[in-house]
This record gives sequence, structure tokens and C-alpha cells, in this order.
Amino acid sequence: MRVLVAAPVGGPLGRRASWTGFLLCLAIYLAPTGALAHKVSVYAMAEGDSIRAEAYFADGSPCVGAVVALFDTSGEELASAETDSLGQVVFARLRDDGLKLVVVAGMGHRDEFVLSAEELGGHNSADASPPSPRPQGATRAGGVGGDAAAGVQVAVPNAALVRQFEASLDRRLVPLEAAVRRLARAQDRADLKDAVTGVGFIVGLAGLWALLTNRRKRVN
Amino acid sequence: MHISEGVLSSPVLAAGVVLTAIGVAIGVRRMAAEDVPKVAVLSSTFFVASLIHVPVGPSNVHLVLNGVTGLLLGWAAFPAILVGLTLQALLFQFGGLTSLGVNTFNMAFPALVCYYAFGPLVRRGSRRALLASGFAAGATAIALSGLLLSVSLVLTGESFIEVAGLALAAHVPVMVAEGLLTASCVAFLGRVKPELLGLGRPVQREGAAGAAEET
Repeated sequence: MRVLVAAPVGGPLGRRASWTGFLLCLAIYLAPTGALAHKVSVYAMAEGDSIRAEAYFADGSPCVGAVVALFDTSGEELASAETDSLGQVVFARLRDDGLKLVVVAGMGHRDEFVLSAEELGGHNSADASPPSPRPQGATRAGGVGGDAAAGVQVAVPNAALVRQFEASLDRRLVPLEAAVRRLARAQDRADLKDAVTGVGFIVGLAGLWALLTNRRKRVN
Repeated sequence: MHISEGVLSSPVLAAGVVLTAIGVAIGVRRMAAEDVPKVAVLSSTFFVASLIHVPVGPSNVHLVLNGVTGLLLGWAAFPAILVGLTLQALLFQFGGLTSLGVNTFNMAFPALVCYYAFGPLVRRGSRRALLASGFAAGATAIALSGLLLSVSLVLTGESFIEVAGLALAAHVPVMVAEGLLTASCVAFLGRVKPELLGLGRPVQREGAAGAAEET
């Protein structure tokens, strides 16, 4: 929480000092946070057997203690949890056909994120999940486990090798997933470009209004 | 303070649209051609102010500047804030588009209240009056906006005590900050551009040597 140190406005120091003081107060607010704020966004990714969701503010800082709820495609609530100190929450992956996450952060702040079936992908865990029906005779390139039901003769690698493979895959994927989350946050930001656009638009609107009222006056 | 898409119930959204439409219509009717630059500047300031934030718990609050907007514009605060909020919704995704009506009313109505409540104090013309009215307008506008935010959420179904308590507590730092900012802003304008405040002559600081009457 920032504390405003009120600079003396006016007084014996004169106009320049009070103008400087005014700007200083403004700068104190603009400087530390990068002057970005205010909406809550949620982003989620499938990570193996789980779904990791992240809630953050417009400047990228984590939204701590917000409630994130998981819904299926029919709108039924499957689970809900509070975000931790990093703004993250992890759900068990319960469905593969599409999920929606909704974050509610209090005072009317809300956002949604939809994970399509494509983004949820296929299960890459060799066990634990209920087997999904696969067409007879289908092959999966480099298939790791789970193809016994397809009736295809595939040499099943031993379990230890599978675990090693998955561990090294995780090492590659975890930084990649973190990078994707960071990109999602950055892309969401309100930036200088948008601020300048907005101010320009307002100026243009005012000019247009002046033009129209001027024309009306001339006509009269 | 911007209520997002999908939070409020339809009746509340509809009421917001109607009330804002009335406010904007009156504001536009009362706006003279020479007021337009002033309205545009304050609308731009309001638009940019929301980028300055104060984090509080799981949510955060931001500078609104509806107090100074109301003091200077009166009814024209409605169109100024509507334009500012529309651009914020489109460019920054701050607040929803369906909730534009409610959000505008929640911020512009307190601005109007400050105009009528503290405008007379401003026009008294002394430096002390400017500082006091500026602080009061800044703080009151935020408090009322927080209250209207709570009412909007309560009418949608949340419990009033919890929501109002949270909203007010979260906004107290902003009330103080805006009060100070508005006070210094109003005092500054009183000295360099008193006509913006509806004053006839500049308001010099107390104890300035010589006559304070010359323009």
C-alpha cells in the first residue's frame, strides 16, 4: 500500500514548488507499479493429470485469495478453490471434452477462461485415468502405454523407462508452461499505446463536437 | 471499482443504463460549446487515472478522479465519464460493456453530488475553502462510489454488510489519496485558471505580499 506524502501546495515556496509537488505526488503513484492496474484475468493450462490456473491483475501481479471455479461444458460446477500466494490453483483433470474456469476476486471483479478439448489434449499419463474408447486397429506414433485395448501389437516399454521418459519431458515442459503463462499475462496488459489511443480518441470526439456545434451556429 | 461482465443481474444492468442515459442527456444539454475542451480534458484525465492503482488484499483499487471531474463539470460529468469508461472497456478491458450503464452511474452520480455539495464552498473563493472543498470532494466521491458499487452487488444478491464493509475498507486509502490530490489540484487551478472553477479572480496563497486582486 502506497502512502501519499503530501507536498506543500503553495505556501512561501511559490507556484513552481507547488506545481512540482503536485507532479511529485503523481509520480509517486505512477513510478512503483508501472502505473498499470485493475482488472482480474485468469489463464489455465493442462499439465498432465491436472489443470493449473493462474489469476492475475492487469499489471501481471498475482491475484491472491481469489476463488476459482471449474465448470464443465454443460455449466455444472466441478470444483472450486482459492488461489495461493502466486495466484495459482491446481485442479485434478476431471474431463477432456472442454472446461471453463471462472475467477471471482471480490468487488465485482470476474473473468472467465475456456479450455477447449483441443487444448486439453489427450491424456499423457500411462495409468490412473479411465480408458477412453479408441477405434480398433488405431496406432499412435511413439505410443507410450495404454494401447492394449486397440488390439495393435506394440512392444510395451517397461514401466521404469516410461517414468524416466516422463520425468525428462516434465523438465522440458515446466519452463515452457511457465513461459506461456507469462506471455498470456503480458499480452493482457493495458499499455501506453492504448492510453494514447484513448486520449486521442477523446480529443477527436471533442473536435468533432465543436465542428458540429459551430456549423449549427453558422447556419443559425 | 469497474464491475466486470457477467457479475450483475439484468434488472440492475437495465436500471444502470436508464439512469445513465438520463444523466448523459441532461449533461449534454447543459454543455455549451466553450465547455467542450474542459470536458475533453477531464474525460482524458479520468480515462488515464484508472491506470494508477493501490493493491489491497486479493483485489485492488485505483484512482478514479471523479471528485474533481464533478467539481469542475457538474452534470457534464456524466458524458465525460461515460466516454472515459467506454474507452477503458474497449481498450483495457476494464469493466464490462453491458455494465457500462451501472459503472457510469456509480462514478458519475457521486461526481454530481460533489458538485452540488461542495461547489458553493469552492465559489467562496478563499484558499482554505479550495483546499477543504477539494479534499472533501475527492474523498466523498470515492466513498459514494464504493457505496453504489456495494448496492449494485447487493441488488444482484450478495450480502450487504460484507460487501459494503469490504468495499469501504478497501477504498479508504484511495479516499485519502484522492482527497489530497483533488485538494492540491483545485488549489492550483484556483491560482492559475480560476475561471475553470467558476471564480472571477485568482486565489492567491494567504499572506502573499501586495494585492491579491489583480488577474
